[in-house]
Amino acid sequence: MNTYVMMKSQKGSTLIEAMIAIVILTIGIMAAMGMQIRAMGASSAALNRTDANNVAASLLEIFKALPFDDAILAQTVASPNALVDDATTAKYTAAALPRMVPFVASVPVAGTIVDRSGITYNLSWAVQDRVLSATNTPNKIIRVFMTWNSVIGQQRLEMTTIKYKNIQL
Amino acid sequence: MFFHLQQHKKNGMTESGFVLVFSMVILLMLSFLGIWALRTSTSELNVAGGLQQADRQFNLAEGAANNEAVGVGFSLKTFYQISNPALRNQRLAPATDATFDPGNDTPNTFAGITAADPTTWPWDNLLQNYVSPPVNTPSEFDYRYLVTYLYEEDRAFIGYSASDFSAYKHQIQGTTVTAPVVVELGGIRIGPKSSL
Repeated sequence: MNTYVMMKSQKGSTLIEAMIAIVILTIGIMAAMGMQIRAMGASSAALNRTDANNVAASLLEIFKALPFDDAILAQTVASPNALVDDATTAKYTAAALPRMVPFVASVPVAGTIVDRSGITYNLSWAVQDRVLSATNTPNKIIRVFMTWNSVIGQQRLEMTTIKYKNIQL
Repeated sequence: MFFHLQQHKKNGMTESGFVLVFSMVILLMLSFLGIWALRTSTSELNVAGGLQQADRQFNLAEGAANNEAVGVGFSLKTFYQISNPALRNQRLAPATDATFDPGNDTPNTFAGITAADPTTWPWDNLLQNYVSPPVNTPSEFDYRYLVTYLYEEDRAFIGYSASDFSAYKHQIQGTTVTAPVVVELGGIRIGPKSSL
């Protein structure tokens, strides 16, 4: 009789237990999925930034290798302080800079590139000449700007260097 | 029959709560999996960011060295003029705090310059912007540099008279104020013999 009562009192307990477990598991899986989605977003952002860095560094290296007086390095801003933002910039076009073509899959519009990984970036640069006299420009400040949209919001990258002319007496 | 019921009761009591415990274990494993994935992707992001910063700082340091090379070539700073070229390994450094740190961004002084420690080198700004940053606050375009006159190369260069001109070898180093990257250039300045 006692055994019967005990069995009767446990009736349905496994079902309730399983339901509680399912609820807890569902919450856990949803949280894990959230973490996974964030992880995928961060991985994607890392890929975007790595690619952007490669494109920007390549462009800057090409600028360094170009002749000092190359038309692509014409001054875009007259004041160094104007270089602190990318408002006055030259925008990338394949025709103007064919050496960048191996890094770029397509150019939908001037200043916008799609790289070999299929990621779309805005690519531009600013140049400011340092003028000592009317005939003497010893160096240029060059800044490369890239912006792109990623799953963690609008991203931006900037690289700056100085290119100097071979010194003359 | 009695034996069977006893066995059933025993099993029922042993397995009580097993599903719950099992689900908790699975939950814990899922949590570790999620945390691991998150940590991996965060690491990837840090690597990408670090790579970008390394490239950025390198280009800034290279720009700094290039800027000072121009300064040497055109004597844009008075302390780049050498009074005695026969004296080797001269450090061409500022002699006042105003020229040591035009932006007043560091409490360091020109008196403490040591070649081995880039944190003691003179300061300048890549954009020549000495106004915007507050005092003692470095801006992202601040850099340090050190120029050393090495020696006079006693040889004629194409297009220059060997009796009137000579080559003066310099070592130019540039570094950013926020990263320990130093770019070094070797530069030859051609000038009137034994007089710069």
